[in-house]
Amino acid sequence: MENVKAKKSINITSYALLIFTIVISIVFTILQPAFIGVGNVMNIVSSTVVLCIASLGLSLVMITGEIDFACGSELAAGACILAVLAKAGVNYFVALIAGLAFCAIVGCINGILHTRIGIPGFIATMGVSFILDGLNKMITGSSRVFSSSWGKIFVAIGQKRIGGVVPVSVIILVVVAVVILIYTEGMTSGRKLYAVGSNSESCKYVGIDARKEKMKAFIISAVLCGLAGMINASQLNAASPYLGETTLVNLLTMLMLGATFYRVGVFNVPGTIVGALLVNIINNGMVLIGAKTWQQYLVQGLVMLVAVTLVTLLKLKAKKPA
Amino acid sequence: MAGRTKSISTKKGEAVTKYFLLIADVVLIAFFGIMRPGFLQVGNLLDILSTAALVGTMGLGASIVMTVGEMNFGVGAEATLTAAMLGWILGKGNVSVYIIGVLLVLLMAALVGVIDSCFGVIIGVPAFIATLAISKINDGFVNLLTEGKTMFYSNWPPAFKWLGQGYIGPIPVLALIFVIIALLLWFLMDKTRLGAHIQAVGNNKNCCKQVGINVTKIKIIAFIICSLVCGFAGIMASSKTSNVMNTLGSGIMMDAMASAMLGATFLRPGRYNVQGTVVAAVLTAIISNGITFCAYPDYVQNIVNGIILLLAVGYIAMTRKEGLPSVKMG
Repeated sequence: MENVKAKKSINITSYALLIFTIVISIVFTILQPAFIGVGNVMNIVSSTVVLCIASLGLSLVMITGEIDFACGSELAAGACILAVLAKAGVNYFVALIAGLAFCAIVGCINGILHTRIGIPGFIATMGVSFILDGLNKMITGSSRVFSSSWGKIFVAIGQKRIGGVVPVSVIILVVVAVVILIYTEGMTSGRKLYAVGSNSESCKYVGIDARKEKMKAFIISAVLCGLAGMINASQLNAASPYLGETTLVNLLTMLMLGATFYRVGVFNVPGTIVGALLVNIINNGMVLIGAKTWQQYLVQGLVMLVAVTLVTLLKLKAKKPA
Repeated sequence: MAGRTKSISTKKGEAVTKYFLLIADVVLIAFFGIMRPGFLQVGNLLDILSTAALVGTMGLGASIVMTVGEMNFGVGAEATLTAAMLGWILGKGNVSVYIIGVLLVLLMAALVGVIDSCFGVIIGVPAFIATLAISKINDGFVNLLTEGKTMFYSNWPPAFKWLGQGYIGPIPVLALIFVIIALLLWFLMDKTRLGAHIQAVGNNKNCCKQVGINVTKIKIIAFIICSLVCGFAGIMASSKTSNVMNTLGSGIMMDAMASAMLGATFLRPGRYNVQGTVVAAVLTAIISNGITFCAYPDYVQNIVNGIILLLAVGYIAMTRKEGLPSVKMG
């Protein structure tokens, strides 16, 4: 009997984040009716895209219990490579593939440094992020890259709206999210990531190669961060080596919020998506009701702190024997 | 016997790497000296030391939390908040005596450390993420104090500038203070019982519980010391430029963290130590000064820093069987 009760209460808490998101939206709508307009909703969704795609990538790494500290630099790298190549007259799609391939190599290096050489993931990706920052500055000359000659196609993935309503970037996000969702929730290969994260020692005994899984996660993370960077560059119609400076903090906020959802206490893909939406709803709403910068920082920090505390407490509760 | 020779041979392997950082320091000084003889002037070398002072002081603070096996990602914001607070209370004339102002803001820095440890140690939130969230809140307060602009008041007392720009004889005050802080922390970590406990907690938490060391208490103390030291680093940085920028702390934080991590490859590989952090901070300062001096583009610095970090830590990771301490993520 008691067991059933406990399960029910977890069910409610696991959807608390979604409920909270809806409540917050209603509050903002009451304070500022323009909040719920179609235009603004699309604004929220399309401003979510960049960080949401990146956070999907990072969540795979975090699921395995590591962190990709270089995600901001990878994001900037994707943007810079695409912009620099496109400016030099290279075919847009070739440039796009080249950028993504470069990010895949970076992810590979992250993985090798951590899993083969044994540098703690945090330090390895930090070192890589230094080098990447340097390379980004090198190819862009430490400044904003912009060209009037790269044409409409460059801004298509970031700014174009199909039928004037649905942004292309949102469609990309949906595709990426569905693929990642199917991969992590439905396929054995993806579920192994969760296994590695929960106990990488016991994975050895059941024949899961933790090093291989982590390697996969690092590569996917780097590629998705690169893609996010390209969309960001397209939205801004320019690229800069400093694009990714605040990325990590924002991504971690989303992931932490996400860990309170669906699979409580574990980083997970569905939660990340809801978390990303919530963060952007708060940011957008704060701007609409005219909050000052310091108030925005304060609220962002508090939301993150509350989320992470909640995760920890829920985890403690789950660990305690009934 | 066999076991013994084995341990000696691993020790020999470590002896080569033990002084890698110091060797790198000397090699780089020689390299830049050959490229541009002016680099070796006493004035420039002292300038390097005062650059190292900012990174090094913050790195020392960060390394103490790392020693207990946690991570404080808010060191940059703590430094900025302390500096902004000091600038504000002195500028608005709430406090007119410099020293009292410093003591007050350090008290506040200690309070931030207490809040960090409330979440990171007592509740048990991964400290890395808790401190990140708290740093965002601190950023908010900094923004409130500076109104989003670079803070400057003309009625700051002369002492505000002296700390970062003054000289005692030929030696910059900044460098002198760095040496004093490093000596104090070295004494604390290597010569006192508290320091031994701090290192023990990082080494083996469970073992500490068995022998009656209060792990929670030691970690809280580590967070408070870290915040105090990083707060002071903020005061030093604002004094050096005689203003408070919103990016004051975040600008030196990455170098500081890297110094602490690099420092763990020096002298006692795999363990954070004061001497290592100091040598690593000097290394970072040599690189940044040398690259500016030789007029190389700024990206060279990022790349060189990254390569040195990966080389040093990677080599230790491969030669040490126990591996390296990692960061608790969840």
